[in-house]
Amino acid sequence: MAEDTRPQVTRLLMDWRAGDESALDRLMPLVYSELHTLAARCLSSEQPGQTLRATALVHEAYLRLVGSEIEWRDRAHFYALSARLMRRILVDHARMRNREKRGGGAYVAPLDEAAEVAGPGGFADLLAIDHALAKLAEFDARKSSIIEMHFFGGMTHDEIAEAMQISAPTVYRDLKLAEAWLRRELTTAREHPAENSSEA
Amino acid sequence: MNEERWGRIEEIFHEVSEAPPEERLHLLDQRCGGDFELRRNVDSLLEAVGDGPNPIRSAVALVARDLSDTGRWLVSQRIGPYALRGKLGSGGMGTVYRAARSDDEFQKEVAIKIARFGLHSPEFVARFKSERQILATLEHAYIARLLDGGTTENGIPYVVIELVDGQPITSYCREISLNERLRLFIKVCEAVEYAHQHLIVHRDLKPANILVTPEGEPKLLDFGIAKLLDREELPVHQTTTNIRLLTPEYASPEQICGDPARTTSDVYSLGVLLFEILAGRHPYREPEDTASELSRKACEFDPPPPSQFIGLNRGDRKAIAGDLDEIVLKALRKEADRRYPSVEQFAADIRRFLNGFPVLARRDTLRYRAGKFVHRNRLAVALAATLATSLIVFGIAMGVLAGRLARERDRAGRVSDFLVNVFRVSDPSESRGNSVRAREILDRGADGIDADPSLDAAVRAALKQTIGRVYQSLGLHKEALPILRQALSIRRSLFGDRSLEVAESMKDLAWSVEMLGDNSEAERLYRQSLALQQALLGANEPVTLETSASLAGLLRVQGRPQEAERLYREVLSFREREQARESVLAAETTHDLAQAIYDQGRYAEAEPLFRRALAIRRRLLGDDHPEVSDNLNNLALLLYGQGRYQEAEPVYRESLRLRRKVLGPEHPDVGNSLNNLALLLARQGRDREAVEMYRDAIALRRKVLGPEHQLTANSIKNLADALRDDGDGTQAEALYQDSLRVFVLRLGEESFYVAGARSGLALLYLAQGRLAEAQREALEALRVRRKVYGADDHRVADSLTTLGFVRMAHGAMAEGEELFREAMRMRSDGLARGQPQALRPLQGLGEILVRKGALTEAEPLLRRALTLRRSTYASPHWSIVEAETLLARCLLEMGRKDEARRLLTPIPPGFAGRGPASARAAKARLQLLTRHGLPSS
Repeated sequence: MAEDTRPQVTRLLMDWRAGDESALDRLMPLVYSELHTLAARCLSSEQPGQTLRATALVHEAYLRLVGSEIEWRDRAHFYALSARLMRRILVDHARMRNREKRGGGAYVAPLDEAAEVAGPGGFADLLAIDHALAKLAEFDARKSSIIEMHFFGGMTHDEIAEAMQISAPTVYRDLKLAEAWLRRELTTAREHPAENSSEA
Repeated sequence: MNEERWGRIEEIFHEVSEAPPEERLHLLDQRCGGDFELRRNVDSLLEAVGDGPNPIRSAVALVARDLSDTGRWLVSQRIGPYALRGKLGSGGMGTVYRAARSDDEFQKEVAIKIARFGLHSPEFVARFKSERQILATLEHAYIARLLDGGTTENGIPYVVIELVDGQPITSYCREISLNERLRLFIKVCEAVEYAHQHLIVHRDLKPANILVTPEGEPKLLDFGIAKLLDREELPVHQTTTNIRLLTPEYASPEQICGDPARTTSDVYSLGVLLFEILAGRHPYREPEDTASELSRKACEFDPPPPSQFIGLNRGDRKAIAGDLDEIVLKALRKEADRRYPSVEQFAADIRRFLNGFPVLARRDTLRYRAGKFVHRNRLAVALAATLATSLIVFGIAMGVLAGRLARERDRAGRVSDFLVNVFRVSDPSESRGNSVRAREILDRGADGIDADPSLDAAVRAALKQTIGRVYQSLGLHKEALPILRQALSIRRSLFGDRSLEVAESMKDLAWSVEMLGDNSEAERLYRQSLALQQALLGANEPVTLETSASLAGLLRVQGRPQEAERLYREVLSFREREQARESVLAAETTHDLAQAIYDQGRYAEAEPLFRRALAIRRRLLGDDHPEVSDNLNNLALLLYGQGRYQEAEPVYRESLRLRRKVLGPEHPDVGNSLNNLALLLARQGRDREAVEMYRDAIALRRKVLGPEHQLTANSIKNLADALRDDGDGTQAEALYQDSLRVFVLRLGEESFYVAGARSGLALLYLAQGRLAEAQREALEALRVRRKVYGADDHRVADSLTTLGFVRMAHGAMAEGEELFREAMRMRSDGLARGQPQALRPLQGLGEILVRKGALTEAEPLLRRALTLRRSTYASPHWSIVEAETLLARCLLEMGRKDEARRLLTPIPPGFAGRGPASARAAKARLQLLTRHGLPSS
């Protein structure tokens, strides 16, 4: 008999928020597998060229795993966690594709040319972003997290403010600076491609 | 980077970027001073702000898209010995390619399915292998065959399947006739049924997985998430992952909720499919729906019948309306146990339709919608006759017949031929809307049974039983009785006294006997039937339990709630043990048990049971179900009976709202809700609201039940009650007379309805000073109530009280006192529970005691009466003013002037103008004040 994973997720989420870091370890695989599946399913129905609706994806994962009867603050934390995992999923994938591209072997030109395909540049870009975010986290962890939440988790300013316990204007300013920093970093990084990216 | 330095950069960055553009350069120079490194750093950051498309966003989007399209990167153009020739599609489990064996000189094409997340997750690999196994066991013309399977060099599993060159069933169906569609669908059912026989549930039936070949044969594909029924489910997180693979448009509610899929889950998916090929569209999907929205709809939204979709041509609409509608809706029930129990039976019903036989789904629907009404709810039986348009008659007849068919398959053909012919004799269009004609058809059927020589005795008994049940469904118990007796006696001689057939006949017979008023005979029949079933079947068989519950129902209405309670408890313990603790039947028994306990006045005990039944029903049936609104209504009745009016009101209102929504605004039950709610409002002294709502109830009941129905008359009588005290006395009198006429016409002189109307009239006459008439009506009401309810009933106490007031008005104080004391004794229970209706004798006795000068005895009575009235009515109500005046009078005569004065608060302006009762109360207050020289405002 299948059990609903929701109560479990909710409980872990609360434990995590209450300071139990080990709860996060148990939470991760659940959310990871959910997001992974959802990404595969939801994204495959999107039109080529359309941008990733990470927001929709994370909200969907949230509803499936947690349900709607949870405090707003827990929801914000869940989104933050999902954002982190989404980053990991995408980076894992990009790394593998990048490796195939350079190592040869499994990757062959797609059979179906109709859809727009992520060129090799796309994978390297994401790895560079990941690398830059890790670098940013070394001296400003908050901004790194905020970028992650916004771009990988599709979180709004208010949601980020709630998760980080800071004001929305601060989120706005942080994002502005962090984004500028990242853009600058990427322009420079393009000349020196990042090799090892950190784990999120 | 140095955090301190970064902080400095941040500070300047914001300050400068938020400054007007013309000041920025200056500001930057000023803030950085001579630190060029700092200046360059901030400057380059400022330059990077909002520069072109966001690189993070686009990189995320690209990689995400690629991730979702794994086929492109997982696959080389060769898989094992197969060369890939193009992509066919992708499903939840993987991507499917067209391919051919490179060593096959005929280049026969196949389909190859390759796992989607092969590199990532072992659980997908496991799933894949399981699909391969499942397919290997299935060999059926309508199921795509497994040809081969293996693992690529990099460990990705694949399966090779027969390539089906066809189109999805839904698009194929657009080209063919309705009957062709149905025949094709039956073939699909055969394939699914075949899988079920091999203990395999498909779990993902949808048009994309059911292709039709150019030859017109269906082929089932993709057993990717199929499940072996006898196999344990995978561990939790894996199972939930599998659930995520479902296509929410076709997944059953239980699958969406994460419960294990059963064969009935496939029935549901096939139901969605059938809906789609009949109506040309999905039952609830809208273009913008997200997955979660679709999931929600699957669990909550009741689809309309397929015939109601626009876009159907007239011929199809006509053909689909009715039987096919019901077949589809039965397959689409939210509760798995209300669907067809198997795909085979689903298909059989469609075959029945194609062959012109009555379908099973009809019976189910009628039971589902009207079942409680017609079969179980005693009150409703009276309504059934009125409701019975010929359409319903026909439907029920067919339904009951179908029920018979299911049980007596060997005789099915002849029985149904006979009945179908009986019904075909009459042109339905002639008899539509005319229950008399429908009855004629039935009567003709009843007569024809004995005249038809081709029927053997067993068939004759079955037919008589069937027709008897149809009569019962219509509330025609007089007609049902003889034919059911005949059926019983035939069965006795055929099967012997100790047979299940006899037990069944006795049980059916008991119901009519009960309805015709012979309770002891009914009880005997129920008990005999029960004893047989217990001996032959066992005590906890569903059939036996149903008989137990019927017997309990009889005992309950006979006023033997203790015995009923005991039986209900037995039934409940079986039902809770045998079925799920929270089954629909358990909820029903819990509810009925609550009623039996309620009857015994143990309100506190009944309440949690009502609430529990309600909670289960809400969970299992959803809010939009008649049993939920009935349950709410009965819970509200309980609260109302306890005088907890504020709590009762929202419950009634919800019941009313749900009934309107579920049953439609013009259903008799809506009239019941309006009436009950109005009664509640009236009890709270909210006469104006009550009057309006009674008028709605009356209008509705006139329309759906007819002007001369006792329930219409009941609302009219209640309206008269509401108008009696503070409204228009003349109008009230006319309404009482009107209702009385209908009650007598329908029920004779000696029914409790008649007594109720006479009681109201007595009170009206009393208020108008027409004492002789008041006494006449009160005495007659008392006589009838004693006869109907027994001498000690609380309603008899009410009549005694009314009579007491009449005698008091006559000046016969000693008689009045005696009557009030007697009524109080009988009402002591209600008084102890604080029931507002119980305080009338208290008040009457108090008044007499004051007049007699027995002040110390009167005071506590009057205090109690006042407290109760204050807690019941919204202040200022005439009855509160009246009670205050009376108590004040008592206190004044005791010389406790200050206390009295505190009670005699000023009456708000305009109070006396509210109506006769308020005017009387105001006048009495004023008289008291004047008499004792107190200021009058």
